[in-house]
Parts: sequence; structure tokens; C-alpha cells
Amino acid sequence: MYLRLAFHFLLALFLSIFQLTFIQPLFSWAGHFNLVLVVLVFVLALSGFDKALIWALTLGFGYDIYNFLPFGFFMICFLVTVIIAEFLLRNFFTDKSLYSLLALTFFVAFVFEFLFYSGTYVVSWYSRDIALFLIQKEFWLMFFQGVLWNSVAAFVFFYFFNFVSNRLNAVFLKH
Amino acid sequence: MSRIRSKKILIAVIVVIALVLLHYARVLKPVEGFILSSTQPISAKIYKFSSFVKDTYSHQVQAQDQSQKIKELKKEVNSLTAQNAELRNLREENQKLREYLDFLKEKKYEHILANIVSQGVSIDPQEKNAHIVIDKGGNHGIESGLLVVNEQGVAIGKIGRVKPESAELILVTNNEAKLACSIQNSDKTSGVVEGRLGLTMEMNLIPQSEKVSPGNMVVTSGLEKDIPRGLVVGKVIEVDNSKNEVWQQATVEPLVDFDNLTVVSVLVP
Repeated sequence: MYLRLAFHFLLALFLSIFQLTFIQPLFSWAGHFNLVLVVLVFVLALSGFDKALIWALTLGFGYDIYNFLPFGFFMICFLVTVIIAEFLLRNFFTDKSLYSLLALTFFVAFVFEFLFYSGTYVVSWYSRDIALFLIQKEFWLMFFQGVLWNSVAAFVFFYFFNFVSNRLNAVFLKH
Repeated sequence: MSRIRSKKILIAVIVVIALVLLHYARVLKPVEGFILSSTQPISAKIYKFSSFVKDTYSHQVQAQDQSQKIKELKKEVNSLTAQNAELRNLREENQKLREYLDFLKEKKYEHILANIVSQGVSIDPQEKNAHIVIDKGGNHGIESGLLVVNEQGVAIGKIGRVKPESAELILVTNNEAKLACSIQNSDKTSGVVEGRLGLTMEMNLIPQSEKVSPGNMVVTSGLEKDIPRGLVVGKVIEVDNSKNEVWQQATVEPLVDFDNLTVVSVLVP
């Protein structure tokens, strides 16, 4: 059990490093792709809430080590995101179809971005005079670029996991 | 089920709080340091690779931008070349019109400016320029037989057939062309200049007693109706004055390159 836990911890840590050192420094439009969120959604959908919590905490921990925002900020962001994702998955996107997961990825991305920008806004508010991100065109542009990438990744992941496991449902909703 | 989930969430929250507290209590520092130091080499390599991908992409985008820019510049050069050619034509036309105005003002001739709209195609090379058509006709006051001059006031032909909106210009070198002229020599020799094969002109029936030599200028004599006197027609280049002939014959060369005519002026009475 501890070995598996360590494996998940290392995997999640590596993923957070990969996101921070490879994806984020890429050219602006590709840098908005949030691979960790897509993976988190799939971990939640495939392996359940327990594993998703471990991944969320580890990802947050990795982010907190590599970033200079107040320690714990990313752990809280990821934790809240995964709790909301679990709520949505359990109550709204229950069938684990492609469309459910795409929709879930969209909402998860929005929740995470909202938490992240709200947090940084609050943290930076006293030191800098910055406009609220929700009324900035750049935020929405960046958000939708990210959503597009995340959806593409979710699409690819869905078909990959659908091929290797039977925990996901076919494309169309079953009545 | 929900209770278990809440319990898990609570545990996660407690873990977060504990980690934060441990961090600020500097207890976590060795762990963080270990993670950072052990992952830094790999992160550096990943970052390097990311930079390489970014650079490659940027270079490609730049190259594409430059090639696009070259294409645009080429297009612009072509457009400017065309514009330049157009402006050069306009400048030449403007120059010609100014010369016309100067000449016509000086001589105080009534005139009608006309554009050459076509040069009739002929299968007979001797009839080159035989059918020049101008864009002014009877409706503009043009009549058959009127003299046509170029921008320097050199006579180039006479009006032939006239239509309401166009007219035929018969060049002085045309076989059909006949123009009363005089040679500017000591005797002021007068005669009729006729076109020859679309290339030159000839003045026949010049008495042997009159002295004509190559280089003498040939001008209109003013003996024809509606044609003023003294307008240059050409230059004598050859004189045939064989002793056994009664008359002399002078070959006259036009001073105008008819191929370059674009605008002409019809002198009206």
C-alpha cells in the first residue's frame, strides 16, 4: 500500500514538474494547456476520489515547492478543485462518457483558474494596483485557449483509456 | 458514503494545514530541499528541452513571417513598378500636351486635340500606319483634308475619312497623301509632296533650274485650303537631278517617328 502511495506521489510530483518546466514555458498559446488538471479529472474518473485526493495534494505540494506564492496556496486550489470535481462527477456527469468528461474538464479548468486568479489577486492586491481578472479580456482569451487544449487532451486520454480499460463509457449517453 | 467522503476531505484539509504549518515552522525545509535538489537536474533538462522546442517553433514562425513579408514586398514592388510605368506614361503624355500648348499658343492656331485610338492592321507591310484612327470626328468639328500636327508642330498627315466620333489620319508618308509644300532653299521651290510606301516622301516636277540640296527643310506652302504656311513636313535627303531629265526629284524624310504617336492635334480653320 505504501509502495503504491509512493508511486502515485512520485508520478504526481513528476507531472507537476513537467507542467511547470516543460508546458508552461512553451509559447504563449500552448503554455495555457493544463495537463495536470486533465490528468486529475481522469484519475478521479478512473481511480476514484481517494487517489484523486492524493494526486491533488501532491500536485499542489509540487507546485508550492516550485512557486513563490504563499506555501499551501496550490494545495488548497487543487484540493478545492478536486472536491468540486467529485461533486460534479457524482451529481451531474455520472455516466463517464466522453461528453461528461469534456464538460467536467471545462468546469474543473474554470474552477481552478478562478481559484488561482482570485488567490493571486488577493495576494497581490495590497502591493499592486491590478484590475480584477474577470473583467480582463486577456484572462478569458487565455482561459479559452487553455480549455481548447485541455479538451483536446481529454479527448485523446478518453480514447486511450477506453482502449486499455472498460471503466469509461462509450461516446454517447446511455438512457 | 457521504460521511466517508467528508471524512476524507477533512483528512485532506488537515494534511494541508499540517504541511503549511510544518513549512512555516521550517520542519519541512529538509524535505523540500531534498525534493528540489533531486528533481532539479531533471527539471533543468526538461526546461532545456522546452526552450529548444520553443526556439524551434519561434524560428519556424519567424521564417514563415519573413517569407510572407518577402512575398508581400515582391507584390508591392510589382505594384509600384506598374504604378511607375503608368506615371512615366502620364509624364510623357503631360510633356507632349505642354509642348502642344506651347506650340499652338505661339502660333495662335485653332486646334482639336485627339488621341490615337488604333493603328489599323494591314497584311501589306507597305501600308504600315496606313489607317491611324483618332478619337475625334465630325461631331467635334473635324473635316476631311485638315492638317494634323504633332506636339512640336511638325505636320504628320491629313484627315481622310471622317465619322461622327472618329476620323482617319493619313500620314504624310502614305501613298495616298499629297501635300502642297515648299523647300526652304534660295528659290523657295514649291511643289506637291507625296508619300512613298509609308516610309518617305517625294517632291516631283522641280525645274532643273532650281537648286535643291540634301538637308533643305520642306514646309507647307499654304497654297492648300485650310492649311497654314510654314509648318515643317520633313527634310530633303536625296535629290535626283539627272541631266537628261526635264524635272528634278527630291526625296524627303519625315522628322517624326510615327510609331510613337499617341496624341495629335488637328488644325481647324
